Amino acid sequence: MNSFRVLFGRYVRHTFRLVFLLFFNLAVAVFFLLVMSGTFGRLQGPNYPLVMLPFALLSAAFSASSSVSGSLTADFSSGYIYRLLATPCSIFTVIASPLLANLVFVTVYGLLLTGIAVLLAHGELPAAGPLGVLVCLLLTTLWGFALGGIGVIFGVGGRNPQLAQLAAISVFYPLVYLSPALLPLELMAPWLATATRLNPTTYIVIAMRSLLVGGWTWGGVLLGLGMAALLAALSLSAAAKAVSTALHRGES
Amino acid sequence: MDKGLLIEGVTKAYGGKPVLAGVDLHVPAGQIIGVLGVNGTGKTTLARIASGLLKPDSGAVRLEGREPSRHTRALVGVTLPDAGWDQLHSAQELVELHCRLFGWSLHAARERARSLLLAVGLGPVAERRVRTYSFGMKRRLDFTLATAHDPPILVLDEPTNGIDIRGRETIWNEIRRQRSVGKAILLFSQDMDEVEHCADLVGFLVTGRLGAHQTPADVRRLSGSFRVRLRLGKEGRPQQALQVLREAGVLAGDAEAFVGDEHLEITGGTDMEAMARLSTDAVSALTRADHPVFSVSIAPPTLEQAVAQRI
Repeated sequence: MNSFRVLFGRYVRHTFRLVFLLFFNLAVAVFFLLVMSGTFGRLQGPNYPLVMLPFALLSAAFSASSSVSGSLTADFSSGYIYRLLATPCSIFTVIASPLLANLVFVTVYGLLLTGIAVLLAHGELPAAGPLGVLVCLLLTTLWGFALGGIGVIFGVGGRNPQLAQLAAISVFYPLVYLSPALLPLELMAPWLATATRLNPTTYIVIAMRSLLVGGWTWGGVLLGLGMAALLAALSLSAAAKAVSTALHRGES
Repeated sequence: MDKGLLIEGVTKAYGGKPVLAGVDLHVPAGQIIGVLGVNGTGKTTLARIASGLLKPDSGAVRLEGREPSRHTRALVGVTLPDAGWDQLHSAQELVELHCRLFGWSLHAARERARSLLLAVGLGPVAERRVRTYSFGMKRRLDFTLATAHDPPILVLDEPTNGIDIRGRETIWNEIRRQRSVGKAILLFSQDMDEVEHCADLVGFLVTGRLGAHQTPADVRRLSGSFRVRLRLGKEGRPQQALQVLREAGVLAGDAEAFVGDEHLEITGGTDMEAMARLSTDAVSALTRADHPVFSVSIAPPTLEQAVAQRI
């Protein structure tokens, strides 16, 4: 637990030193929220910014997690990871602590984006209240955690931090565009709707949207949380396995 | 036998290519065992296995009698010359982080980092980010991290490679100080001077095997010859000069002379003092016979010569 706390602090400090990243991670999501609300807000009704908020939240989580997986891959490719593993840290701690440090940033981004969405929705509050917003942020964080793990797997495999970011991008687009983040399932072409139902992100987005504009629909929320937790756990185990394999092959 | 570092029958191969072919080694507390080897002989692999960072394919490692695991990492400090750094943190922060990962309190870690960085000459730049450091400064920081958590065993992989003369002296003094407080130290090096200054016993790592240990003085003696080079200049007559040396009886025993365009080279001696006397005698004989000598140099046996003697 001590190692985890110390490394968590290191990654928070590390990210704060890359201020430009903090800015760009948020800027893209804010830009999207503003443009979508300005473009379709009048047609779709006053709560449209809250409808679009899940996409903005996932976008911010994606940016933040790809920064984290990039940093982790850089630790690996530079060999700094060997210095960490010469201490009582486990591989699991080395990987999980930055991904969880990301939680701090995703939470701050999420709160800011929710605030902006509420302002754009003329003060309309999220339907499930403050607790619902927190659950929504938890869903976002777990999803970002999973995406960060995927970045680590590819980055470590290719021994290249840029590859980690490219992998996160290639996973982000299919996961988000094949989900109801931009368009409800019922308005999609049948083949697209079928493909979308196979995507775990769909259930995360449905849960988030229900919390933001519908209210507490327990079945949907629990399904979304379950999917997000499962994705995060699978991704973290696979990332730990990838790092461990690469270290034992002496690839750093 | 429980104290210190024990390595038994360790083997390791990468992609089917053997790197270590059965290494045995014991480093008792309060001793420095040097391991000499040229590039690519498996020094770094052995260092990582000795410190528990890499698992051997077969054989065993014991740190203070215990099998290496995450829980024995406090027992060993290791320099990692190929490992990189978190460039966004300062040396002070990285040493603090290292100590805190070993469970030190923030205050104790801060004080420890301050005093260690001062001892290796990094005190004035301790707060600067590591990305601004020179290669030599990073090597000193590497050594600092190895010793930071005060482990009873140190595995030092080329700790002064790339450091200037003054820095090397500082690190060597620190290595000897660590021995004096009872640390078991395994010192990997390519530098005969380094092991001569620090090690109690030395072994050669050649083709994946570690040879028998010798004292540094024996290593020098058995590692080939000193070379005396006498530069005669453009007007010099090396063949006649060689004849002069033979007639004067300077080339006695194992000494052999080689004639170059403008110089003579004498090899064969394994004792530095004897070779110094020989060079003085040679210069006197040549000067008397009207063969001026422009310069004299004496070179010790190189690591390559020493390794060649052991293949």
